Amino acid sequence: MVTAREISVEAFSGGERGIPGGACGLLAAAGNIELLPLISSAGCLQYRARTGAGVTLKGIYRDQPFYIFHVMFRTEGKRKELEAWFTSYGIHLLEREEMVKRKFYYEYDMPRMVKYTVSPPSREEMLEIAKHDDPDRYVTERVMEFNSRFRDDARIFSSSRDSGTFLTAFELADTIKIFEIEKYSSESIDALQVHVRWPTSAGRGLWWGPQPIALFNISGIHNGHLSSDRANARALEQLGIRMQVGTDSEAIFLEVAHLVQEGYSLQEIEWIMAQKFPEELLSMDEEERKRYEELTRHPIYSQFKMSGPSTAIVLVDDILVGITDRDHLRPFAVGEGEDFVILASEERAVISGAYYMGKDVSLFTPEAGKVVGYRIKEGVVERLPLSWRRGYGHP
Amino acid sequence: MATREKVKIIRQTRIVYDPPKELGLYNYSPKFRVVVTSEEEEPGHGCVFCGTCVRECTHNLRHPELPGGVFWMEEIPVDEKGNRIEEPDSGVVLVDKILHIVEEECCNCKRCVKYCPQRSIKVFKNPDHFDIGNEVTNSEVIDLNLARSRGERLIGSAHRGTVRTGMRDYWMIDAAEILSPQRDHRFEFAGRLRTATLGKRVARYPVKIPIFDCNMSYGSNAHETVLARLIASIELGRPFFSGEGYIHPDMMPAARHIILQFGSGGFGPWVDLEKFAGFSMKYGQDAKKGKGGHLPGVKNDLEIALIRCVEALRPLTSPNPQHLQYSIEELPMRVETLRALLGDEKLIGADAYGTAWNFPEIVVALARAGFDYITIKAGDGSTGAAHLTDLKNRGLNVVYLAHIADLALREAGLRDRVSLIAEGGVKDGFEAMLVLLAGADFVGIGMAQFIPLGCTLCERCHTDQCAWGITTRRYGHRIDPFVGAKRIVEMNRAWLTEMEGLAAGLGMSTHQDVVGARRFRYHGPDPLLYETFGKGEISGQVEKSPLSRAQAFYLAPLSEKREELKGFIERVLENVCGDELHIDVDVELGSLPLNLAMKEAAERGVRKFHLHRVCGQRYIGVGVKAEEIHVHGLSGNNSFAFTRGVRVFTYPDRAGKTLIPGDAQVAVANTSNPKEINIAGRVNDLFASYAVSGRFRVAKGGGVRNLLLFKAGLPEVWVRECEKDYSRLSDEEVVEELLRRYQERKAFLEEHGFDKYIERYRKDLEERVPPVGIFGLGPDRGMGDYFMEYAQGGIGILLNIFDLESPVGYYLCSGLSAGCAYIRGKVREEQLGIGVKLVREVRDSNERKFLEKEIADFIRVFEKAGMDEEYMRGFDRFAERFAAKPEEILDEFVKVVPLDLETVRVPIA
Repeated sequence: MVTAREISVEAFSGGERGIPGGACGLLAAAGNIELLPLISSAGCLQYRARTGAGVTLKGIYRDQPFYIFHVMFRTEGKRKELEAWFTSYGIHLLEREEMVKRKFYYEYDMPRMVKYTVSPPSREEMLEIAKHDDPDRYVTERVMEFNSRFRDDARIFSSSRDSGTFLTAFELADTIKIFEIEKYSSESIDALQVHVRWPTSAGRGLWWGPQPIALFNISGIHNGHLSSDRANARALEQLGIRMQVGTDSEAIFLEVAHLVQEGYSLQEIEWIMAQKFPEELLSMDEEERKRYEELTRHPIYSQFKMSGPSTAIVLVDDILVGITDRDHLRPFAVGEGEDFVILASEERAVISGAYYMGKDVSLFTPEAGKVVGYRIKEGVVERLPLSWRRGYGHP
Repeated sequence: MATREKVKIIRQTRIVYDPPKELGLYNYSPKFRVVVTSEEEEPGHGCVFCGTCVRECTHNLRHPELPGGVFWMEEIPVDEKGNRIEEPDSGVVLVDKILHIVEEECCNCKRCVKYCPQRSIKVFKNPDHFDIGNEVTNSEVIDLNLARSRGERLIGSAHRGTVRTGMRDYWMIDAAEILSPQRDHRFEFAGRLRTATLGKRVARYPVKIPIFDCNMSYGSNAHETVLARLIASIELGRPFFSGEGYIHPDMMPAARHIILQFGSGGFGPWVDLEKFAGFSMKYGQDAKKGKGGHLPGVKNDLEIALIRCVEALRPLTSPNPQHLQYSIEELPMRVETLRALLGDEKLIGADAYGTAWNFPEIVVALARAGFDYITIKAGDGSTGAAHLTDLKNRGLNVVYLAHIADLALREAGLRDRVSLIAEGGVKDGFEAMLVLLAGADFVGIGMAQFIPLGCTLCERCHTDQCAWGITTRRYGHRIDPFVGAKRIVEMNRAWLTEMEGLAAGLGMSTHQDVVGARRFRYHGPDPLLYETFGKGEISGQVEKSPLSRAQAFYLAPLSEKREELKGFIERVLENVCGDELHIDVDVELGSLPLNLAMKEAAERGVRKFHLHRVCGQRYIGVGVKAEEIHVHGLSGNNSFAFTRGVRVFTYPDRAGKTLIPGDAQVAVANTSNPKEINIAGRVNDLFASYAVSGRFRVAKGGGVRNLLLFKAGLPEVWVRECEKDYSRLSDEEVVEELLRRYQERKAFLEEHGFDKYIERYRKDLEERVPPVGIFGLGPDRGMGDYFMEYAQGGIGILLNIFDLESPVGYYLCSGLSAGCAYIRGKVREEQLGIGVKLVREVRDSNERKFLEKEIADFIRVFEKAGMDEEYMRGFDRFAERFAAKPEEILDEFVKVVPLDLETVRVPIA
């Protein structure tokens, strides 16, 4: 077996000292895109980052019925026990696969990376244990439970049926190398998210920090450091949405995902997440203002507001949402091509991404506090109007 | 008719205590009682009515209508019986002399006490000052709420800590005994703290005393105060930290000893920076936690405006954040820009507030960003003005924070890269020693440097009435800078001797032995001091994680990187053709190689650069002495920052199938003095922020905070200073030159007074050409929010060539105190920022002429810049209309000006 140097709880999850917030570089793309050119263009953001980088690839696990878990184990000694925990919930770990070649454990101090192919329990079992029979929900709940319970020993950092997330506490180039990401370049990828990170505040855990933060079909990348982190967390708590990582970034992703799933329009999501200056209300039409006030005075949603620097890009199922804070304390750039879109924390990453793919792109920078949304269906990307909302009945 | 002289004979003298202005609840009980003894009360100490106190006292906050301060003298002509008479023009006049005392003006500065030849003045605390309330309700709370209800602003200055720091009590001074012997610092080489170095990388400033004078700005200090401190610092062999008010041109001969501070207001011309010892970024200060600064218009006099490059007599704001760095990850960007500008040889420092949480991370992030030193501001920080809330609640103990920072840097493997200065409330050699023992390399003192100049901590710095002349410019002549400097030197040397005695007592021989040794023992109740010095021996080593390869690369000096890139640079320079150079940036060339190649080319005489397929490379042209830079493509963050005299043009370009717009990313052209910068595209946030002079043209629109803190032009005096070279002067000659310049100033001041003196700068101020930013705006959106926020001069123009419904965002010109914005199209009142108003039309013929010329230039610059068809269609339409009916276009402008201003200074050729 692998003889990696075991990393400490403090380095893994931070233990009692927790994990730091971070500042970062972001890049996301969707549509007819190519992996390696976009990874190269994200490389130009590395100067914004030091410790931690990750990639989410949407579509690499499509067309198969199972959930794919990526799990990092801080200590080999706990692995069997944790596997047994799943089994006790009726979750079948069908296959286990090493994600990283042995030589990398000698080169880097890092947790053991294992990929599992997972199937949910039977309908009856689910009903008995969880009083519902929605397998997606059941698996997501278990992932959340696992992650909060075994935080110091392991992290499920990818749990989708469709996309895969890859993280390390190193730089982007290291992450690419360790997971041999280039092997996915021949696959058709619907969307990707790349994040390079610089931990910036108190806290020690390096392995819980890296993004994208992924939970089932939600994954997000964020650049910023919210002053409203406590309010954001409190609001989610009141909705019964548990955070696993516990950072301001995760709160934004879960909030956006919640709003998308609850059928709020992009316009409404923008109003809630990036509230307007009061002076702006004067030129809104009466009906709009009423709706705006209803949402921004909502006892829970009023706390979703992002105060402080923030640019976030969230992937919820097949919807890609990008948003900046109303004060525009973080840059954000978007490029639309004929059959793709790139969202990034700088113009430079957008243009060079298109250049490396050999395509033309039309660049714009969304205004402060504005949302952009795209839908990716079977490799085709479509800009969503602000009035778009997820219809009831079809997820 | 012969005139006879008038002779006054004093018939009688009296001392009168002026009654309160108001009786009842709002009767202000003076803070201090001022008692003047008469000859009858205390023979030999009685008042002789000489009027010295009247002359010396400057404090008249509550009674500005009276002729004096605390004291004023009344002379009443009387007849022999004591009846008041009309004063005759000549002859012998009998007068009654009355010394009035207005106690509520007194702040206990002791100027009168020290100057009274009879020692007849006594000042003591008035037990009735906090006169209502009891121990439980805290009478101060009631008193302050009464002050609020009177409409007073609770602004104060210097210290207001209500309890003592505790730094002085409960210490056991450790000493080496028997195990390793104590040493003798007087007769042997022992305990020497006179050899140290600020900066641990390439830039190193040799220091002869580990006690620094930290960052009190020109303006908050009188000219003479700054001069005394500056000369003292030169004589003591330490750098002088300027504070954020820049320095006076007369002090430029000493530039190599000065570290300039860049505060959030970015005041100053920012030219000729290579003459200075370094550059300090101010991220916060303990005395105004989380706040910015505000200089009232009256204090922004003609001379201050000249130095700070702002419009005179207008209020100035230093915003709360440093807008160019909203986050830790933007720190290295700032450092790389400054490094490109200044090279390895200059110190680049960060002044950070000792925050309650995340402090270790902040320190480590600053060190990782590549700063040479970090100043920790904590403890009882003083200030020239702050709200009482900030003053009363002092920061964390500076000793503790020095300890925390030292440990954090050691754990991160960075302690050998960065020097630590810790400051805040240190008032003698013992406290300074504690700071060093706790882990700082140097200790900074601010207020304590004032003590030899007379400061008694009377908390009146903000009133512009400092009787000692320390913080009030018009009384600055009360200080002799050269005598003051000597006293400061003496005091600092005495501290040093005390510290050396303590070090020698510990058996130590040099500065290095002391830093972080933590050898004293604290046995008092302060938990933070206990944490640092109370827990007993601290082990010699921390668990260290060495720097990663990547981090080491970020921190490597430019010279090393230049060596690595030598081959590349030579290849680029093969394309030099006369004084021109074309560089193919090929989308992915690194920012650093590009910058180094351009610098090398400029050294070899290249004046015009053509960069092709540029894609967001950062800090293009920074530190490059070029005349023209043509950028084909996208200019990255901080490009053209700090440039001077350059002409920049950007154009869209094509790389393969990809069109690269001629746009600019964040903070392009910040703090610059270019001839012109022309962006054939859009700009992002903070374009031309802090820019001092030049033309800034942008074909399309911009993000938020464009032209933030725009300045008022570069005065000739700075241009003249740039031509002078002081590098060959010895330190003694530098001091002599400072003396010579001061003598000229003093001679004029004595003859004509302060007001006339500063009038001399009016011409220079008026001849400045204010910077102009002109934006065409694109077809899809206008200018972002906070356009021209806090501007202190200069002119912004939005042409709105596509006739957008809403050409600009919200908080338009918020806090703009001078200069103005001209906007073509509709602006709603609610879009205006704070402190400005909308003028619906531009009628003044000068202003119209100016606008017409700017528009014509704009059209000339961009008509052939090769922009996209959609834009050019609108552009041509606009240009045609302008050519046909310019007056019609001009009629469509509105302007935004400060609430209290109508006229605008526009540059007319």
